[in-house]
Amino acid sequence: MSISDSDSPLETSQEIRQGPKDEGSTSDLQEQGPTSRRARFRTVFGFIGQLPVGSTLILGTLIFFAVFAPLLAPHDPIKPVEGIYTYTPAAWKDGGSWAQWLGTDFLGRDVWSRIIYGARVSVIVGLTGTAAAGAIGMVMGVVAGYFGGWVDAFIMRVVDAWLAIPTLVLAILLSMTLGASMWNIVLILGVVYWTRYARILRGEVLTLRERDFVKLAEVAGASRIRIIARHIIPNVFNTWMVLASLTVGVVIVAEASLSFLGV
Amino acid sequence: MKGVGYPQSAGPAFEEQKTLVVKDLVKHFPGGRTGLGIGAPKQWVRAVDGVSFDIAPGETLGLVGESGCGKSTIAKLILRLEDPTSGSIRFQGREVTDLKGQELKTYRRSVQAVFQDPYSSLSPRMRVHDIIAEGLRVHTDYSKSDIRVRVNDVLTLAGLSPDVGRLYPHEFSGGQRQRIAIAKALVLDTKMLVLDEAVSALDVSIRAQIITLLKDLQQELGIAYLYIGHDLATVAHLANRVMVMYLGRLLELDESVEFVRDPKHPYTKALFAAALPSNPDDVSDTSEQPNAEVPTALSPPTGCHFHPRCPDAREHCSTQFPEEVTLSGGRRISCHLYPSR
Repeated sequence: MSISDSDSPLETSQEIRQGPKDEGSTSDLQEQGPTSRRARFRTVFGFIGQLPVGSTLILGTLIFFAVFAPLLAPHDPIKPVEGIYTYTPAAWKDGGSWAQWLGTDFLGRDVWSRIIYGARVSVIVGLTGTAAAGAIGMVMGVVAGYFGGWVDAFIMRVVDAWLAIPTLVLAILLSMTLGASMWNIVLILGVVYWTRYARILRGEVLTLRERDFVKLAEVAGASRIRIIARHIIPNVFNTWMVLASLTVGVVIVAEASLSFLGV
Repeated sequence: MKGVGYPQSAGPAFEEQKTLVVKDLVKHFPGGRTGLGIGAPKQWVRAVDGVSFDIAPGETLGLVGESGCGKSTIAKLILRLEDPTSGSIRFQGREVTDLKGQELKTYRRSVQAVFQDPYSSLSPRMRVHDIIAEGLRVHTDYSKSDIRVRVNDVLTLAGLSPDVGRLYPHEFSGGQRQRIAIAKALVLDTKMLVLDEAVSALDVSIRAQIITLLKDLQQELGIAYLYIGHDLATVAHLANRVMVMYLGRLLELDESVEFVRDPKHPYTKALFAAALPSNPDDVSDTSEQPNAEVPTALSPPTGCHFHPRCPDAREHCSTQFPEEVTLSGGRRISCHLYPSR
């Protein structure tokens, strides 16, 4: 049918810009070569222009510091600053010095450097902890929603029980038994926070399962694994992303709480 | 209900000629359950209650009836999306109600479906090419280029340009989406197509296009259609034979479309009279209009299900379900007005 003749809006705008070229002004002649490059630049810039400014700045700064921590931190975050083995206040307070502008902790470690390195831990644990929780929750939710019946009932009762346990207590218990390496913490956060994914995704899958395209995939002979991978998961992915973005902060705070409690 | 009108000599030879032979098909859904939702259900919804029919290759069987009469349940049973309570469905002479695993997969190569809502029947996250290619990826080990060729073929068959393969469903109108759904249904060696209200959601001009497309495809490929609809004009246009269902039971099945001009069963008469005439001056006979609401399939009326609404109801209509009778011309009917000999 006539789908093919309505092409991307990009080409239409090029046609409009090519309009005055026929009149032969010099500036337009210079533009002739790099038109497509300009179009590409516009696409990239258009994407950047759509990003929310405030949150991009904050997250960008955080990630920048996390990535370049060794270059940006003036001191080693773990060793005391040479010659200082006790608490010093921040620069604008009595007894502070601009050499360690946020001061040092009770062991003489530079607070500013520790904050910069802390961004690393926050970003890594925040993202991987969220990914772990999201992965467990996705599997549980999709399995419960798609297979239904006693599988669904069982998983949802587990979720109910899980939600009744205070998250931080569970996290402390698990880290005591498993030991507290960073990757153990990631795993523990995943195990603690998967329930909300499971609950919400299960509901989504329940409605998706009744949609005609899932039924038609079944009629076409697709296996359950294929239906889940090709039809269910792509259609719950948006919800998953939103949930994940909400979980990152919770996970970072939980990780900080654990570390504050000395786990 | 014994199929009286069913050919008595229905041997294997007869069944193999037919694409689909359905006999005494029954599907009961559990109705309200007792307090805790466990244990045996209190009552059953008799969605399909002993229906028999058959479809020959290259033929269209129209299936009409009000909402909730079991039309779509029959489609789901044939597509094996639901399992029947009892009865048999034979496809090219083979029983399909108990197929499992690889055999079921083989059956699914031949029987495809087009559903009513073109906005729900295409996955919004897949490109048209992938939507159509799914059957090939599941059933064949075609290479990428083989798949592309085949997908382009069926797109052309369905009246679309091969270029549309790279687009997503949201870029299409309802009619085009239905063409994509048809292309998807044809991508394998389809022998039978279940069209469950396939054009009901489309506006009238598009509907005519899709109907014409379906007719052309049938002529070209010799596919059998089970066409489910409540739009009588469309059914009459597309179908070779028409069957009428009411509350899970088959009331009338005609061997020709003559049916539409000469309905015999009081329900069919009422159903056809209820359809608006194309000319508003052709006032339909309102005396045929049934008065009461449609009873629920949870507790259908005793005897003939239609008797509370039937203008010609007799005393025994409320106690006895009428035997099915074959009239001259091969029309099967279940009504006390046409007593068995």
